[in-house]
Amino acid sequence: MARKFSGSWKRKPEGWTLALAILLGIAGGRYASAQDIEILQVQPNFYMIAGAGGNIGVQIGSAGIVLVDTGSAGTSDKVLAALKKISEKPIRYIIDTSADPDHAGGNSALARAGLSIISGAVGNPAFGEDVLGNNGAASVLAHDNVLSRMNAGDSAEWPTKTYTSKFYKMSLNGEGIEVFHQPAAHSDGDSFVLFRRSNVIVAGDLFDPTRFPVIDRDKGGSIHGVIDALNRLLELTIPPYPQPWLAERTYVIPGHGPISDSHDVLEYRDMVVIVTDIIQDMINRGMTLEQVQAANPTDGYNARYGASTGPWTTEMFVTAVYKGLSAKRR
Amino acid sequence: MIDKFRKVAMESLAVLLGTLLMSGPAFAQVDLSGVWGFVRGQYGQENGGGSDIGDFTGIPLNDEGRAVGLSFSAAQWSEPERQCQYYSPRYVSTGPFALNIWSDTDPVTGKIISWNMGAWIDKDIVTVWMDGRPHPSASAFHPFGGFATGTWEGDTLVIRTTHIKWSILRINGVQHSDRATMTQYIVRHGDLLSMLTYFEDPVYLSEPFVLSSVWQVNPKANSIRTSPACEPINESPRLENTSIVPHYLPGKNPFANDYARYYNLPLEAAQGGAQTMYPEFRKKLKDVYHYVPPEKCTRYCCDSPDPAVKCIRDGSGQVR
Amino acid sequence: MKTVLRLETALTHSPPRRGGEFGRVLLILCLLSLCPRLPGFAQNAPSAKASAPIDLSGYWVTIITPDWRERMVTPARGDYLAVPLTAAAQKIADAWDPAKDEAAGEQCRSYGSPAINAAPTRFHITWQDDNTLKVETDYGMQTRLFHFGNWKPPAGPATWQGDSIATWELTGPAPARKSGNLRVTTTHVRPGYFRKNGIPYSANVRMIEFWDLFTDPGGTQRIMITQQIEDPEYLFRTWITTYNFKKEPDASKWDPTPCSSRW
Repeated sequence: MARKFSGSWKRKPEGWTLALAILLGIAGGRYASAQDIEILQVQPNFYMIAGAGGNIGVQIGSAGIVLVDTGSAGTSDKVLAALKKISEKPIRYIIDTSADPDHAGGNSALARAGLSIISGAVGNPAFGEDVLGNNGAASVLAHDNVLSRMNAGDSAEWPTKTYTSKFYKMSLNGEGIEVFHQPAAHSDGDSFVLFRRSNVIVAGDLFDPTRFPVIDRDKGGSIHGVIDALNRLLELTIPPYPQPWLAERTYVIPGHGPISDSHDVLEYRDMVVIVTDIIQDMINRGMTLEQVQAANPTDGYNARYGASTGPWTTEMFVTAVYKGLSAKRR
Repeated sequence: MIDKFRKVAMESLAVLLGTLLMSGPAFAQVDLSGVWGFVRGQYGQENGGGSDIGDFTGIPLNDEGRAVGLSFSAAQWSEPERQCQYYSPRYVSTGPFALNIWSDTDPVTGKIISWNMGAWIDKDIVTVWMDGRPHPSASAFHPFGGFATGTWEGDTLVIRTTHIKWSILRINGVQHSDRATMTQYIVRHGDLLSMLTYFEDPVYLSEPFVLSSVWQVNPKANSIRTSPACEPINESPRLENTSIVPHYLPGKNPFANDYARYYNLPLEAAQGGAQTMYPEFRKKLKDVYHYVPPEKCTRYCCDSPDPAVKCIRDGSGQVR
Repeated sequence: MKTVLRLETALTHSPPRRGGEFGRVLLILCLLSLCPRLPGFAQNAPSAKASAPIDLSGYWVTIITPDWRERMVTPARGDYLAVPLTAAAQKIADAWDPAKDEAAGEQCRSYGSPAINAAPTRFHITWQDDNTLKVETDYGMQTRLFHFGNWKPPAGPATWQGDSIATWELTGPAPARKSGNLRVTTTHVRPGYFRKNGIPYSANVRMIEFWDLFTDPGGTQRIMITQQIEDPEYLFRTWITTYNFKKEPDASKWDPTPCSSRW
């Protein structure tokens, strides 16, 4: 592997043990369990809650708790109990990465368990409708397409604030928070959330290393958008160089699966591109969808990412990619 | 009276101390600390120029493992994000660099809380926790060095590693997944350190992949505790900020048959699989494939340290 | 112990003098630490079989992964990879002629003890008697005998397997020392080949082996052999390698084949 050595070996080897302990202790080396919910520490002020549907990002600070995603409906009591273990502060803000029910299903319960970021809001005509509309509960932010997707369902779960631009920025708990829209990827309403000082990105289902990318074509998703999203995520993540043995790096909380870093995103991105290339080659050779399915274009990755049953099967993935690539050609 | 009592006491003490001397030390642990040079007596090409493309011999690969291995292009290493990537901790077992092993102790009790193996040029430090802590959950982060715990069985250190990142099993593109786990048995015989590595991957291996290797005390061996600092450079502009991932389409790897061709081997042998690990495979080589070795060695023929030995030491075919 | 007690008695009847008591204590200490080494002290020591810290008996199959093309098949002429051979050895190896070996009845040249652990073989290990461990191979149908205790090699010509003297090295917490490994030293070997393509070893070859036994996470036993080979004529330095074997449940895959110069 080519590399350029800076020749800097100044770090004393003995101190690395502490760094690794912090890395593993923080990045999931210790965890508490509230029944089947797992709490894993990612950074000193940042946690991941797993087991409530999709992964939930939790930023803790003096202002309160910022959540990214809220898990599935019905898990909110467990999520709240887990949050109590890590902070007594109220939930102040919720950001949805998508409209998926396993990521936004707890919006209403968790927002109402929280408290608006603006104190004294209830009954005060000086404050905006979004704050009053939520009766002083925590705000719920998402891309506008999330609201469009959800408006056929229970309004209590709707985001209370949406954005339509490429990104939305704010500062909370002493750090900048950037919400990036990734168009036409998993769906048309996907967002990453970057916590600058914490150096954590919550990716939602834009990055889900437990399965082949879920592409919801009916909701505007596409394979090109997925690849663009993964590339964008790679651009945003900072690897641990030039001192790769240290803990400092950007951590990525995927929609499902383990806490990750830039290398994990890279391996997943490469797999997606390789499989896409294989299917594209088959399309170029004039193969039908049925012929492509039979040729097993995901060979090499089926055991790790595939499924023959369930809500997202390998066959569904191949179909989504085939149709997405064929549509582009047209 | 007092003199007699003192005499008996002294001599009883002598017998007691002597018994202890005969018994040897009361502690089970062995001191593994120090710098251990990798003994170059096996893994010839693997630790030299690197295994040939298409050489999957002796690896219990399943069909998916083979598919991924054959799709691999070495140009992937030119991806900017991979240039400072560490090797898998599996590579601890086959060198070729030295081991630097040290322990960390609890400042209050003096007990060893971890053994550490570091770091070579391109591998992460492996910390082996000896304090009985459990392995983290499946949702926890996977460091490059994995998460390892150790126990003593007699004078053998048994290390269990989980949470290993996706990486390569062999330099020519055979891969292991992030579901792999590893168990290592380290035993010291004087100035030799022997290691048995038992590597499992439910995704790409049909059986455990078992390797053994040996190091020898060598304080002057090239070994440092941490890897050097690493800064990526732009090796290939076409790979920067693009979606290009170097790989070969199924059946299109132009080098896939090279190894088999070099050594007159059938593809069934070259492309690995559990059957290639066992002696009975020879029957197939002889009776089905009628194997005949090449007339003479034309590449990677020797690596003798004797300067008087002139031979082909690499893939160039040149004698030196 | 009787010898020690007699010495103790002699010491306690010595005339007292300054420092005399301490001196006697010191002497007793030294004698006690030497006890196991005194001739006749271990008269009633258990046999090698009874005192074995590990059980190596059974059927075992080698796992061939590193150096596959040098071990699984006959390598090409001139393929000496990983062997620290000397120029003198290279000259001999370059002249390797399997037909000549066959004509001379020397088909077993590559089946000697310095080569057998690397070979594509199975082992069948049993106790020939309480102090002799027998290792049979199906590859070449060879037999190695590891002799424990005060065994003296008989006079006579060197053999393919040579003379092997074995000891148990006990490890683990004192005083029980319930674990351990086998150590074997082999000399007096008939000249042969380290590999089938004619890399020679001389009559002066000497091999030390450490056999360790482990149980893997799947419950299967594995032997790891670490071997050090010295050959002042044909090896530039000590050649140190390791090989590992997996236990098999029975003899169902045991497949004896005679020596061959080609296969």
